[in-house]
Formats: sequence, C-alpha cells, structure tokens
Amino acid sequence: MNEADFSLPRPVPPHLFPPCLVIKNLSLTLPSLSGDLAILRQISFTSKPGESLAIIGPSGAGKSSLLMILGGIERPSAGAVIINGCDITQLPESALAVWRGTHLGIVFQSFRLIASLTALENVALPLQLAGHRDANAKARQALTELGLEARLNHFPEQLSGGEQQRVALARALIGEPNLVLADEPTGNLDQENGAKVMDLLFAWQKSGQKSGQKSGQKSGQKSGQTQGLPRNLVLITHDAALAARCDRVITLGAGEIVKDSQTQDITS
Amino acid sequence: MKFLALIWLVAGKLRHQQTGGGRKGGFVGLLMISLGLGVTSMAAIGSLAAAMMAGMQQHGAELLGGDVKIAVSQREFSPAEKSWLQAHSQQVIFGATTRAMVRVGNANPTAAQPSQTSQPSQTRQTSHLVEVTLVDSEHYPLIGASHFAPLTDAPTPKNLAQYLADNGALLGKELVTQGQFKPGASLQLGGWHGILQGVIQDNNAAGDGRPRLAPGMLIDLRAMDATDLTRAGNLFSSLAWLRLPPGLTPPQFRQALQQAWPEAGWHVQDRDDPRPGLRRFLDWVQSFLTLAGLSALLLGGMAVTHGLVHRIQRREADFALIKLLGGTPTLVVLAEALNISRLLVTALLVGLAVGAAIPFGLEWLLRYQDWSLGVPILAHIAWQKLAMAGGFGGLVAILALVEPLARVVALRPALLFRPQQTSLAAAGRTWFERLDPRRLGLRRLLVMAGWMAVAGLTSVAFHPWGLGLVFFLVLGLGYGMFRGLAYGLTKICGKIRPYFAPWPILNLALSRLARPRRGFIAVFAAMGLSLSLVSLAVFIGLALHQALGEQIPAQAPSHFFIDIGQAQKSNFLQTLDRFGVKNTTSSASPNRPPQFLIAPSIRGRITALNGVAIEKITIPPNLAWAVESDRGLSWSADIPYGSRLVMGNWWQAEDFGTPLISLEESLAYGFGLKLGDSMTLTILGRPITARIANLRRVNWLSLSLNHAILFAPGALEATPYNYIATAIVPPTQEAEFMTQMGQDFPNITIVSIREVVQQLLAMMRALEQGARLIAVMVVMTALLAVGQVIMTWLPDRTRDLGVCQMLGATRKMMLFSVAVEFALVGLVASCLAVEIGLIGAALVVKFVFGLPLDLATAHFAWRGLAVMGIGVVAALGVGVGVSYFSLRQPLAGLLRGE
Repeated sequence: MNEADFSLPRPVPPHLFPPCLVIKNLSLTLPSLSGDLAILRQISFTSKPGESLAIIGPSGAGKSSLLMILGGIERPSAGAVIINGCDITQLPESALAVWRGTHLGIVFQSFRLIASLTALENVALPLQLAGHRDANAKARQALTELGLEARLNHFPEQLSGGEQQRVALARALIGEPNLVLADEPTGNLDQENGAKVMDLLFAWQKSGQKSGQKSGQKSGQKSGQTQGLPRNLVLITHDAALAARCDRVITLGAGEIVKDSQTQDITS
Repeated sequence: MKFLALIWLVAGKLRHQQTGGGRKGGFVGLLMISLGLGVTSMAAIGSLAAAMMAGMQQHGAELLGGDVKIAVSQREFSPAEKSWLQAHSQQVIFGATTRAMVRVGNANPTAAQPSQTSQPSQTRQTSHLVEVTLVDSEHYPLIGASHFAPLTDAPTPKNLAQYLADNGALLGKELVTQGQFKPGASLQLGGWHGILQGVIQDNNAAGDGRPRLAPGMLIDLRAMDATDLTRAGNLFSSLAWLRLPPGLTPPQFRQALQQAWPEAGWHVQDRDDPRPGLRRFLDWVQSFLTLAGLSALLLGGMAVTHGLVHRIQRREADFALIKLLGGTPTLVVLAEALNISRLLVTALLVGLAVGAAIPFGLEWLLRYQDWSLGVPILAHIAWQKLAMAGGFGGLVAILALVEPLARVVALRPALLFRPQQTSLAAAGRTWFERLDPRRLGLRRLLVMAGWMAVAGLTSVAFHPWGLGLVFFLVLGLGYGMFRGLAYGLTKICGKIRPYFAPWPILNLALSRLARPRRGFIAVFAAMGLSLSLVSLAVFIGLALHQALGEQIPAQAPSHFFIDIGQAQKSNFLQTLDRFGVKNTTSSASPNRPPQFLIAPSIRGRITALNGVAIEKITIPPNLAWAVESDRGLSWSADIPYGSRLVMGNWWQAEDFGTPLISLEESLAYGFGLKLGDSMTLTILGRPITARIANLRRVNWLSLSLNHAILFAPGALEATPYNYIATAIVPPTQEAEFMTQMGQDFPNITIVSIREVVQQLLAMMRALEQGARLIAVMVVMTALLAVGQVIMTWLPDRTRDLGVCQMLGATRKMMLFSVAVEFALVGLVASCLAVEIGLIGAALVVKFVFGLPLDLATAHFAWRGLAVMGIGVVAALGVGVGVSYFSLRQPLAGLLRGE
C-alpha cells in the first residue's frame, strides 16, 4: 500500500476554511435597579480561522461580557454566536458544558486554579471530564513543556503567580481546542512573566496555522476533532502593545464596535 | 465622649454598607436562630420547671386535699392519735388506701368474650387491680376539688356523698373505658359488695405524686370493715387530711407532731412540698434537658462564630477602606463589635422572651383545651432561670465574638491593593496571634478562658454538682475524638485520592476533603456531637425497652400476690399446685426463679440509724425513697433466692429471736452503715432496733421476692403479718387461674408483671419523646452551625464550581461531587456518633439504671443504621442545599469579577 492509493483531499489554504467565529447582531441587556441596562448592542463580526483577535476598549465597554458570551458562560439577549458552524446560543446547558470542555480554552486574569488540586490534576481535569484515559500523561507532558516538571504535585498556593498562569495556560490548551479566550491573562503578572505567558499563547496559536495546513491534508483520516483545525485566539486586554501583536484589533465602546482594524484596513 | 461618638458614626457607616448587600435579612435571621434556639430552650425548660414547681407550691393544699396529709402503714390511727390530730387542726378527715382486686360483674356484653356472654351472670365477673381509697364522703376532699362523672347522661349528682351512698363506688376512667362497664355494675372488694355509680375524672388528693400502677377506686370509709382489706397484717395505709388552724404553718405542725409522736412512723406531706418525689424527678429531668439545651447553645455559638466570619469575609474591603481612610484598628473593631452586639443582644432577648412566654402559652392552652398535666402550672417570670439562660447565652455570644473581631483587627488596608496576598482568609493568622511573642496565641487563651468560664458556670449551676463537669468532660472528649477523626479522614482522602484520578468528580470531592477549608473540624464536630446525642437517646430508649419489655419479663415471675393471710397460706399453695405451679425451677428456664416463692411480709419505716433520728441525718438524694415511705420487711432462715451474701455471716439457728437484720449493700453504703451498726424501724407504731448482721447484694432485676431489709426469724413473728408470693403461671392457664383466685381469695391482690411493665414502658415513652425533641433541636442547631461554616466556604467553592463548569463539567456532575463530599462527612461522623451512642448508652443503662444490656441484637444494628442514615441525609441536605443555591446561579455569576 502506498500513498498513491489514497485519494487525499487537496491541501486547503487557511483562508478557504469557513469562518471560525461568526457573531451576528449580538445584544446583551441586563436588568438593573434603574431599568434595563444595554451592555452589548447589535455586535456583528466574523473571525477567520487561525486569526488572533484582540478586543480592547475602556472599562464598561462590554469586553468581558462579550468574552463570556463567546465562552458560552453568558446567554445573549439576542443574536447568534456561531463557532465552527455551531450556534452555541442554541445549546442547552449540559451540551454547552461538554462543548466548552472539548472545543474551548479559557485563560483568566487571576488564574482560577482549583485550590484543592495539584498542578497536574488541575491540568488533567478537562481531559478527565471529557473521558480521556491518558489525561495525566498528557498533563504531565504539557507542564513539562512549559518548564513546570518540578512543580507537578504542588498545590496552587505553593506556586508563584507566573507559574500559576502557566498551569492555567496548560489547562486551557491541553484539550487542543481551536479557540482560546484569554481575559487579561497578564493582568496579575509582572512584565517578564507576562511576556513569557503571551509568547507561549501566540506560539500555540501560530503553530495551529502550520499544523492546520498540514492537517488539512489529513482531514480525511481524522474527523470530529478540533485537532488539526487552525487555532483562533480572542484576547481581551488593556495593553496596546499586546493587542498590536494580534492579527486584528476590535475596539469596543459603550457596547458597540467603534473600531475594527480589519474593516479599517479594508476601507482604507 | 468624642471617641464614643466616632465609634457610633463608624458603626452606622459600616451598618449602612452592610445593608446594601440585600442578604441582611437572611443573615440576621440565621444569627438570631443560631443563638436564640439554645437560649430559648434553656429559658423555656427552666421556666416550665419553675412554673410546675410554683404550681405545685401554690396549689399544694388542693393537690394534697388538705394542708397536711398523714399516712400510717398497716394500722389504723389510735384514738389518742386521732384526738391529737383533731386538737391540732381546724378540721381533720380520715381515710385509708390499699391496692386490691375488684371483681366487676354485669359488664357490658360487648366487652365480654362471645363464649362468656351465654354464661350465667356470675361467671361474667372480671377481676381488676385497683388502688382503692376509702374516704369520708361527706367532707372529702377537705381542700380543693375532685371531679367525678356519672356513667350515663343522668344528671350529675351534687356531691361525692351521693355517689358513694348505698354502697356506691367510683372507678378510674381508664378502667371504665377499657372495661366498658354498665352503670350499676356490681362490684366486689374483699367482703364488700357495691354498685358502680360513676367515673373518677381526677382525684389528686388520693395520690401521693408517684406514678399509679393501677386505676383508682373510691368507696365510703364506712365500708372499711366490710372490705376486710384493712385488717391487721394487710398492706394498707390509714390516711388523715388536715386543715391547719390559721397561724400554724406546716413546719410548725411537723415539729409539734414529731415532738408528740417521735416514733409513730408517720409519713407526712404538706402543702409547701406536696409532691417531693415529683419535685426531685422534675429537678432531674430539668438538669438533663437544660444540659441538652446548653449543647444546642454551644453549637449555636459555633454557628454564630462562623456566620460572623463569613460576614466579615464578605466585607473585608469595607473594613480595609475605613482603615485606609484613617480609622484605627480599635475604632473599627469597636464599631463592628457594636453592630454585632446589637444583633446578638437582640437574639438573646428574643430567645429569653420566647422561653419565658412558653409557660404562659402552655397555661393558656391547658385552660383553653381543658387538659391537665397531672400537676398544676403557675406561669410566672422565672428570673433566676432566665438569668441562667441569659448568662450562658451572653458568655457563649462573647466567645463567639472573639474570632471574628480578631479578624477585623488583623485586616490591613493593603488588602485593597493586593487582595490575593493580604486577604486574611488566605493568611490564616490574626492580630491576637501576632501579639503573643511565643505564638501561643492570645486569642486561643481568651477562648480557652471563656470555655473554662462556661465549664465552671455549668459545674455550679447544675444539680447534682458533678453533672455539669461530667457534661463538659464528655463534650471535650467527644470533640477531641471528632477532631481526631476529621484529621484521619483528611489524611486517608489524601492517600486514596490518586487511585480515583480516572474519576475526576470523585477525585474533586476527595481533594476537597483532603485539603479542607478552615472550619472543617467545626463541621465535623457539630455533625458528630449532635448525632452522638441522637444515637445516645435512641440507644438508651431501645436498651430500656429491651430490658423492661423483653429481658426482665423473660426471667421474672408472671404475678405478684399480696396480702395472703396466714390462714390462707396452705389453701393458696394448694391452688397453685392445682395449676401445676411447683416450688421448683423449670428446667426449660433455668434463669427464672422457682415457679413460686412465698415470704412473710410486713411494713415498717426507718426512723433512726445508730440511735440518731433519720430527720437529722443527711440522706443521699438517690436513697431518699428509702426513708420517705414505708419499706417492705420480711424474715428468712436462709439466704433468699436472688440474694448473695457480700459481708458478714448468715445467722444460725441460735441467733433466731435476736433482732438482727441483713441489709442490702447499696443502702448500707449510702447510709454509711457497717456491720454491727443499728437501725431503728417503726413497725405498726412500735419501734424496733436491730443490729446489722450482714450485707447482701440483691439482683432486683429478677423481680424475685426480695427485701432490702431482712430480719432473722423470731424477731417479728409476734406482729400481725401476711404473706406475699411470686409465681410463674403458665400463660395458657392464666385466665382460668385468675378466675379461680378471684373466687377463692377475693382479698388477695394480684399484680401482673406484664401490666406493670406496660405501665413503665408507657411512662418511658413519654420521656423518650421529650428527649428526642431536644435531640432534634440540637441537630437543627448543629445543622445551622454547619450551614454557617459552609457559607464561609462559598466564595471559593462557588468559584471552583464555576471553573469546573468552564472546563466541561455539568451542574449535575458538580452536585454529585458535592454530594459525595458531604455524604462521606455524614457517614464517617455518624459512624463514630453511633459508636459513642452505643458506649454511652451501655454506660448509662448499666450504671445509672442498673439494667442489663444486650447490644448484639438486630434492633441495635437497625437503629445504628438509621442514625447513620440521618447523618448522611442531614449532611447531604445542608451541604448540597447550600451549594445548590450557588450552582443555580448562571455561570457568569459564578465567575463574576473576571
């Protein structure tokens, strides 16, 4: 048997993948003492596969709310959030939980590690929840790759802030999601540790573009997995320099998109 | 002054900020309930007991039926005695009482067996044990009122004399209801024949406060001779009710009586203390129930501590901000102390008010529903009891304040800038601990001093003196055991956790147990100690039921026979022989006594020990019964069945005729008597002094024929006496035997052990209900404490639940994880609680009640499992319940702040 026997699909360039993230007329209104409060108003954009997207804006612009809706944490008042062809606003709660565990990685500003679990267990948890038998081995490998092989059995309180964020990063990426949401991931870190963490995050995202091209050739062999798809990153930050490292920057203001570097590029 | 105003101002600001959270109502409610339940129960128990005591004192004369009631055993008052009593009272009436068998004929056919209805009327007679009182129907009761009712709708006769006229009689309502007797039914009591005229509704003056073992019966005193029940040697008491002349108090009368008749052996009750036995029983019950209330209060204190810690955790930023703006630690802590104290004092006052109001409510309910507790209650504000409940409540509240306020002091303004690093919850050290150079912890010293104060107060506040101390020692020991077990559980969970790695939800639950949050010990101890109390109550109840209901009847005789005349003895034995009851031990039941035992019987009263009058000797409370009433006396040439000689020598034939006694050992030790000492008894009004020749250990549980005071033959035979006997009558022949006995020996009283045991069990069930009610209240308070501790965990726990959901876990999975965690806590805590309950029950049953205990029965296993089930369900309920409210929030709410 040789390779010629296979009718392999032709390599697909990343720009020919369907859009990874489609946001249509997204609105979020929350009740407040002084009446309904519009947090997000009619937001629409799409993100290409393999794109890194920074969302910036002043406090109260709706950045975190948008991130929570993208992560299936918050239900929008109106609109649709289509990720890899699936409108997550239509999924029931239990299906959303499974979807988050298998398709999504989230990195929080204050790490959000579970205090009673070791670093290894924190990282292995999403894989275990998804039913993977080799969760511990993969978690060990991921932490080793991030330079934490000596910290595997330490509890979060025994780790420094930078180490905790690397553990959180390993946890977000171990399920090989094709979408990672990062909410001010360097907010609680010093400059050096912040840079390290962002380097790792961008390296993961870029490696997805390459593997996406390679795996596009093998997509006939693997299906139903996020592995091999281009990797998208949605980053919420106040740091302009960090935002500039992303492929695209969306600026929110008062719940609306006030600026989109991509459309700006197009219009310009 | 300026500083005080500043404290008031800051307290107001903090209060204003704290009310903004919208959870104030729930918090305040929980705080009030936590502290209030314990205070309420202590205040209520004390107030109720005080109301009963006051009621008995206030209505003492009505309860007795006179200012003074005098009883003498086995004889009538002499003319000289009667004259003296008449001379020293405004009015006196006489009567008599005894236990006897009444034969009721012409019973309602619906109550009789079908086969019996066709029999001639005389064969439809039934025999019943009654406590018959013969009274002066014109004047009885001398003071107060007894209530009677006719059997039909006929107009109520005006007075007792009309009921008892023409050989009329009244029977206790329980017997009439049970027997469904017709009005006009014929009655036979000894040699007396009468007619049933009505029902006794209540008749306090006839009783002496002790539980009645048989229904009452009233007949006219003029029928005394006809009954033949009060002849010499029979076990009866002559009674006299007196109205004292104005100005003569009961103590003065007692003194005069004692001087006039020093050796008469009279049993005197007066209006100041009409029911001494009941008073002692109430004291005893009150002490135990108040200690249970104190348990609830201590658990409530634990709940308050953790509730306040939770409140402070939620408001850390507020305190830090005040400090940042210039507030000194003293100012902030005093302001917060003012706010908290306001709540705690309110809780205390509400608890005391509710506790104090309960007797008033009960008094109203009894009056409104026309119910009776058997003793009158006089609701009043029992300041002493309220002060005790308030004192304990205040002390526990102060103890509960130490930890939360120490946290307020320790909070640094830096928290506002670096919450993760400076949050007190994370730091775990407090200002008080830092104060102490050796790190012993001033806070701990303060708490320990507070506990010692509570222990000291408990020791002096409860009777008997050692009870409070024992309570605290047991509590401390129990706490230590649960603390150790909690530590062991965390270690075991840590060890086994790796094996559960493939099951992340179980692993999560175990991880939380392996690395528990602050307060885990409190959760464990609160659960465990309260469940221990439940299991103790359950097991003691079960053990008593088993001992009284199964074990004792299995080795006891079936019947007691009283007042067998000397001339009747041989006929009585022949009757027993006809029914196959022999004086041998059955080979089938070697543990049972011989099928019948018979012994001479006479009653006497202990009047002096070693020549010192009994009134001048301090008698231990547990032996007060021995000197307060007459004791049964007998004599025997041999050591009786069920007795064992433990000191001295048994008398020989040459000793017969000498006044020697064999004394039961516990009486001898309690009275401080030894071999050779003397005891004076008044028998039929005559003093007899005897020397203690030996001591015996008696197995009372065999219910065999035994006497605490046994004479050598030859000393008492000259006095009029009767015989008493026990017999094991085959159940199949019981009905026929009873009928035969009724016909042949109408004067002999027959007591069925089975019926006595049923009466005892019924009384015990009432006590058990009370104990269970208190245990349930303690468990509820414990659950409040547990809930408050879990509330302090909620911020971290809520965040962890949210993170897990973010990583792919569903709400059901998270609830399952929490359920496993708390089910394990409940299961492990209740396992130890069951053990403690079993050991405690074994000790109490064996050493307090002196009853046998057989733990190896299925009943104990099932009850143990039930307690474990309660533990698991309670832990699950509170743990999952509190966590469920967190999980119900939208995921965004769980992760808010990111």
